Amino acid sequence: MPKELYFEDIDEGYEIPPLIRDITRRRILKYADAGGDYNPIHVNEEFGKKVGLGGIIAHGMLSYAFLVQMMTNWLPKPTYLKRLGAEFRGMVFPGDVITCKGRVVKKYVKDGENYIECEVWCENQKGEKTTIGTAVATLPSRGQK
Amino acid sequence: MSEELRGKEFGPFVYIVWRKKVEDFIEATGDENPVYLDDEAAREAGYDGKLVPISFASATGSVALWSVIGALGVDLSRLLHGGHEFEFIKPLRDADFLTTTLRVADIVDKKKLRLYILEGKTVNAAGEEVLRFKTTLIERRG
Repeated sequence: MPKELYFEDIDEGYEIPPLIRDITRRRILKYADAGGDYNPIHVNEEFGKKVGLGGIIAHGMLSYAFLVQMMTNWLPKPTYLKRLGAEFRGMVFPGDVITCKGRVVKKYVKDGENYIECEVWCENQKGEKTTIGTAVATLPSRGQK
Repeated sequence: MSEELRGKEFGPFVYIVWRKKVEDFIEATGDENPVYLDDEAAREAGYDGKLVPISFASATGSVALWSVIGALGVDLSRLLHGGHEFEFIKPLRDADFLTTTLRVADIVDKKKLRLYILEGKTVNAAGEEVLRFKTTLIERRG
């Protein structure tokens, strides 16, 4: 059954349930397979060492995908997510544990649609924000079909 | 040389959404929303069958991006992905035939960094817009 969550229930400051993901080499390689992004810094340990990263790093877009996932896990319908923009601030390495978090910062009605704007980010196990961004979603009103 | 690239358009690039790739993606991300896995669950949520994860959009643009990176002539060991934004217009479906076009919207020099701002859109086989995006590539210079 679809989850129930209405525009009226959400206030500014509302915290979105976090999403936690451990970063493994397997995740990174599977992500490379899905999109065909085999940039050597993501799949080749030797290349990563040569360019001073100490080994491979995760795709920025993997963190992006986690932020989208946090939003779509929370929203009653995944297609309520309209937009998500993110900046990649820090590198993510195998062995890191990434926690995605978010908070509603704005509610508004535009052209008859209820919108919420959220600040979203990823933190590593040291509490460093590796990705920060903004998500915009729609929500139904109570009683609205 | 980079100045000539400003405003330049690239594409169309084709990406086909195969379920095998979606499964790789779900394994990578753990994005296991029932509406992505099960037709019945998707119908209960008001869709006419299972969707491809919304987050899968992130995997569909790599081929296009790689072609542009080649044309920009950026040394891979100096390249970073600065950021990305998607506007999700229509959910992706299995076997969607996606066509992506993009252009170099701007090139910005900042001290030892050069930013390439790319903007584009993706349409399905019916010609419907499914995604719009903006992505920033960072070249470390000097």
